[in-house]
Amino acid sequence: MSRDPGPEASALLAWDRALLSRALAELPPLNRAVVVLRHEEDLSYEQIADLTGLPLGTVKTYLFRGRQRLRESLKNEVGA
Amino acid sequence: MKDSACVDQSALQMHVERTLAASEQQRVNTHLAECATCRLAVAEYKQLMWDLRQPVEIPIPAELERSYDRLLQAWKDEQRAQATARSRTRSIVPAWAGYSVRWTRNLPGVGSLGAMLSRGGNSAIRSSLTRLLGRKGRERRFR
Repeated sequence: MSRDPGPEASALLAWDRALLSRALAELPPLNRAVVVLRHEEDLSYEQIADLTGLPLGTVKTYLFRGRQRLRESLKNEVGA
Repeated sequence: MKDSACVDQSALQMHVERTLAASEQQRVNTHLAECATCRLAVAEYKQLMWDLRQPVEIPIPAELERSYDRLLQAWKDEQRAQATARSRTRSIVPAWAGYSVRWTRNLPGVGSLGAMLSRGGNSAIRSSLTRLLGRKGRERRFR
């Protein structure tokens, strides 16, 4: 688990982390919250709906749009 | 190929998460077999979702930073309530603790908030989310 990925891999990882961190920070709060609940906390759509009190469809919309935005901003950063 | 026949982004994401219904999954599979653009999108979503599962340093949102003291107080109240009466409702999301601590400052004493919250109930969790979301009037619904 604690394998050292090596200096090059670490640098790459740090770059990715920084980009993702910034991209997450730029998401609207609700999109960010739903994305984090889904991926860091590994909650299901239904659990997120229950926790937030949002309708299931709304949870999905925020999640899908949030990830789409993350993907786009990461692509733009890498391509820039 | 990128045209009107392409499946939408939400379907691609659900494909990656394996949350599509069987019939829809079949439709997506058929499309992916012939569309390089959507295959690339799927690869990118896979990468993104993998990245999101790794520890990410998330800047503290101002709305949560402001409410940090209240979050802590909510937890303390919850702990006190639990000390006197064993709660019958188990938290559905004990993992929320990790979420909370990630969004809070890494100060001495604050780091254990996540572990403490993991033993807390839903009310502290929900009040923290309420504040995070900054949606007025939602507290009432959570109670």
